[in-house]
Amino acid sequence: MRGAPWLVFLLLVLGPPARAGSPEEAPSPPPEEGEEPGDAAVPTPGAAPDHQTVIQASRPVSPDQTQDQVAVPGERLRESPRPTLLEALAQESASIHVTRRGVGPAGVASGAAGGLTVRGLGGSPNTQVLVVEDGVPDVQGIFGHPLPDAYVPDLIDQAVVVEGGDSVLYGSNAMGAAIVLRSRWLPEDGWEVRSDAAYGSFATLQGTVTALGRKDGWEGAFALHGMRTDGHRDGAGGSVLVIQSAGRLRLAPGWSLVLRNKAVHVTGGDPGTVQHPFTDHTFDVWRDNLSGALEYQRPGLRVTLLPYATLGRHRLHDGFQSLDWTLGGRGEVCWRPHRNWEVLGGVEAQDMDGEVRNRIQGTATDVRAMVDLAAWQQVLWRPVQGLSLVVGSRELYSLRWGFLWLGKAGVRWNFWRGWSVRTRVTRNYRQPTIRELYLPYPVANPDLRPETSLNWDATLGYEDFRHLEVSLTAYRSQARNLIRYFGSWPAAEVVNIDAYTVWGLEGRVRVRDLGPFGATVAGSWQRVGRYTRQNPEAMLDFAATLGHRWGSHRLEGEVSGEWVHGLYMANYRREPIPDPFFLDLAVRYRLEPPGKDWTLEPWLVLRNLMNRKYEYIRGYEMPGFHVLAGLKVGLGG
Amino acid sequence: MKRRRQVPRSRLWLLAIGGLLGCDLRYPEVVVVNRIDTAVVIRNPSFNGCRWEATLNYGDATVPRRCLPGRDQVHFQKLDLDQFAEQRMDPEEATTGPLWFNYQTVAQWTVDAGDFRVIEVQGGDALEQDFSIPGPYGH
Repeated sequence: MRGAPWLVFLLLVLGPPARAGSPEEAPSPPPEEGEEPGDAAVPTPGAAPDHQTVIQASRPVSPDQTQDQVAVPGERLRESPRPTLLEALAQESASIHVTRRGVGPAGVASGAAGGLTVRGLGGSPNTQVLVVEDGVPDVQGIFGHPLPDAYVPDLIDQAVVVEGGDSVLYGSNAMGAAIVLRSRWLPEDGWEVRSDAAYGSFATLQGTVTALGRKDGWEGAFALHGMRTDGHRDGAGGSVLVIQSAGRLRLAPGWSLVLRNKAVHVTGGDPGTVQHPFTDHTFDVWRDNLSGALEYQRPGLRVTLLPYATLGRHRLHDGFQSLDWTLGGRGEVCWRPHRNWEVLGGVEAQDMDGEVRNRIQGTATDVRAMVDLAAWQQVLWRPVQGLSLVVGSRELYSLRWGFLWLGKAGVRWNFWRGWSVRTRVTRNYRQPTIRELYLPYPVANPDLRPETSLNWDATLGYEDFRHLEVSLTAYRSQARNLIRYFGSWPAAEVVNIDAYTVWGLEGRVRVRDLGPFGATVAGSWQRVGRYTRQNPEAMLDFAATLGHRWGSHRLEGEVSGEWVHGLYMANYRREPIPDPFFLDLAVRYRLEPPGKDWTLEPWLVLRNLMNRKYEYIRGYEMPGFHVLAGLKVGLGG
Repeated sequence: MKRRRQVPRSRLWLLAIGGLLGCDLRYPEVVVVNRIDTAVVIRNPSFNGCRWEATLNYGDATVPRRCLPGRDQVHFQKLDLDQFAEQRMDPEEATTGPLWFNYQTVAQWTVDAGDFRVIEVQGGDALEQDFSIPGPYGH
């Protein structure tokens, strides 16, 4: 542990290569006038080759260019020293706070980590932050939030965090933010297999195999990810298994059919506080997400039909068992009648339901299904070069709460040589979860009303698309009817609270491709009033990379860290937690022999380099200095 | 002059990585011993992230476990056999089972990486009731 500083010195002497600066990871500029969104480079099977120039451009992950977003390439997420995808995303933006408790699974129920808070909204545990995976909102039917352990970056092409949320496009839960994930396919015919295996402290063993292929209009993607660990203390161990598969068939010119499935199995336990640890508060969660997509695309028009279903089973140590399911479907049309206009419209229906019983006591708890229907529209207008105006509306009808209107308006102006200014206001909402309404763990309230928020933000930014990216954002979130738990069992209550306002500032500076050097610094400060529970006042995320390439060899290293200030375990600034601060170091060596279709990449991650004692959840102390070493092998591609 | 045998570089790497991976093995080892009273039994003691699923008679010790480095009290459940015997004599309470109460030591101990610490739990004023046990919470 005391040897950590010399490792930093060794890295600096060796002079590793800039990952952040590699050209393939540089974010592409937003599409401008006349650029056709979509997989423009995809040839039609059997079509005669023409000799036109083909411009390769991916469709933007999120279609609103006026929103404040952080886009992170999948490769960067895969190479992140952070143990989970959500933590890797939090490293990229200082407004994302993720609760953590160690190297094991984040878990579910009491003592779970992985709670997300963005711009003062979130927590409880993640119900105000929505994760959208390939167009499908990922919520557990009864609990209304995503499963933090279900996300692994193996097949992710890009992740976009829409800060400030967008319920017009994404519906319920996208209040504080929406995390939009897009899976990757091979860009051209061929195949690719990658394996990444690692072993480290606390008997942590993890492995991933991904395989992608593409031939004659058929495409396939498969990933198998497994992780098990003893954890850094009694009861903190667990395991995660994720099996993802997807297939895409190009049916006819312009038509494609996609089928995806993801199965997740998470086991572990709540280790309790260090003063009162548990060894038997276990959980066992199975989830399966199935979705399809039928898409028609031609210049100026894209039509998508996307049915989906999720099924989950939770078992806890005390006999609790829930079975939940979500069935839904959405249809979306994106029409570009003129090069300066883009119209987006869609309809969606969703049904969430489940059943709950106690296997030990033999009792069952009644729950009622939640069904809602929605239609949304978004219009993008580019009146002049560099200026984009967006307005949107969502009309939602819930069988339980009736009609609700949501809307948004935004503007972005790229006014001078990489300088831009943008602002947006959006009205978001979240409906109560089945758990909050009916499940007395610790308490339920069937009279709860949906939460709404009015979020505003404005950003001044500069980007030269080569070396420098700077942005400064001011934001204000005003929420009504927020659902909050108060008190403790057995006198706890869950109620709507009247009004809540948070405002703050965020800044981000990114330097890349500056010789071997790259760096990112992101900071935020916010005023959250009395609702201080897991709602920090200030955060700072930083990363510095050094890289060097010689011939077919590449060596790179990254030091990254996070500092959180003003963290409390309770509202009203009660139960303060000392400022968490840690440093991680990742070192990678990559061998790419010329003319060969294989690569070799040993890597080493040193976490909590300074062996600091810190915690995000009171009594759930984070591990000291620990290590993970792995080997990545790539074939084909 | 005797030539020094060179260690292959690959073995040095293995040694270095093995040492790093084993850093958690330097977590302090802790043993808890019941020295309260011959009539007092304690069970499920815990200390700074460690929990022993054990019942200790007077003089019994737990097995060594690796705990987090840091400072804590010993928390445990206590049963006074004399009181329990008196309870059994009372016909109204004779059918009820023993009551285990939550206690903790007043003293705190600090353990660091590499330590091997035997903690003896004494009786009398060295103990206090533990009201910090978390209550049942939700799912």
